[in-house]
Amino acid sequence: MVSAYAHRFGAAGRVDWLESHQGVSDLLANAQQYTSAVYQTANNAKYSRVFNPRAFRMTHAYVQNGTVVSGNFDIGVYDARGVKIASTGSTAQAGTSTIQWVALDALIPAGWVTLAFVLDNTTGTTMVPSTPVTHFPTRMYDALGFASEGTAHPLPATLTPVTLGATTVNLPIWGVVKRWP
Amino acid sequence: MMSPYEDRVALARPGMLWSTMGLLDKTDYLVNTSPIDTVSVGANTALFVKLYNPRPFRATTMFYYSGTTGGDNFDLGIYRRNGASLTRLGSTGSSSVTAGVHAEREPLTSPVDVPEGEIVLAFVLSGALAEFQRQDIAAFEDYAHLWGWGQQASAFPLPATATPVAATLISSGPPILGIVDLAFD
Repeated sequence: MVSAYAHRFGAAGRVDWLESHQGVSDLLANAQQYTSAVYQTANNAKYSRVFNPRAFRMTHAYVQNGTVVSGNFDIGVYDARGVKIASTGSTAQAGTSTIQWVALDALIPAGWVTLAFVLDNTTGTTMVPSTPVTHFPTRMYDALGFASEGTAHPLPATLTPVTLGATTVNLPIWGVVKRWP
Repeated sequence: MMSPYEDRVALARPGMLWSTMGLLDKTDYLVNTSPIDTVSVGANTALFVKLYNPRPFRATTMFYYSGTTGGDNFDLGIYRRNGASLTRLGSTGSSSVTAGVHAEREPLTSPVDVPEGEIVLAFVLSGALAEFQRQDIAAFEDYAHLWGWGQQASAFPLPATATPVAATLISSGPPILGIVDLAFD
């Protein structure tokens, strides 16, 4: 049975694809705008809990890079218990203003999973939703399934998430996908 | 139980699947203009798009957005994954393209019971003359991977079994097509 939340947190009519803001970026982005922004805290991981309606074997992880790249990132996926399924490991950020792909073969189970991203510096940028700061409460991030963890590069074997806690959060756009064929 | 968000993100209309469903936030960000005319990606080269159908329904009609120039024939179809390939559940069969910008719609040769789960819609033109309307999205190659677009050459009319590869011919944006449970008119 498809979860009542499937369409909001993961599926939304698509298959084999999970993204950090899928289904909710219109809530986060001011006038549906994305912008290039620095990673605010080095080694502080960002988590996005999404619902995967159907198991699939991913082929790639990706991040939407901004106008400046620097250092290394790690992208991972965790199961419903917070145990890491797979991650890219520390990977050099490369390619400005484009999607950076990293091959990663793993079976993503159906159900709740957590996508994770961390960058090891505050010079590199990613595309982020242009959040309207003045009226977007920080607890809204919690409600939408976002969290963070400090000193998390490379990504840990298990999650210990905490609330984002800030009034302005530059949440990168990243995800995992099974590409054709 | 129906999610209160279904209408918002994916099922604005029950019994309908279309190539841009669930991507409202993405298209707002990426799309430069309204859909525009483009020539065929190549005679007999079919385009495929993966979708997720949350509820079974019986489909009777498919559509795509045709462009200003007619000529050639089109075929629209729906597939289900069967291992490493796709098995066709139904299609419109070959039909002539009508000149003029509109949603070209055609009944399926037989109604199709669209199952829950992964579904693949397909579109092909028989020549390189007729135009279709595409979403105007620059550098679409990367998004094609995310949005589930594939392609296959020598695929007119649409084959009973298909083995698409990653799409590389829609770098300026994808066509718009869909399948519905109600016949127009």
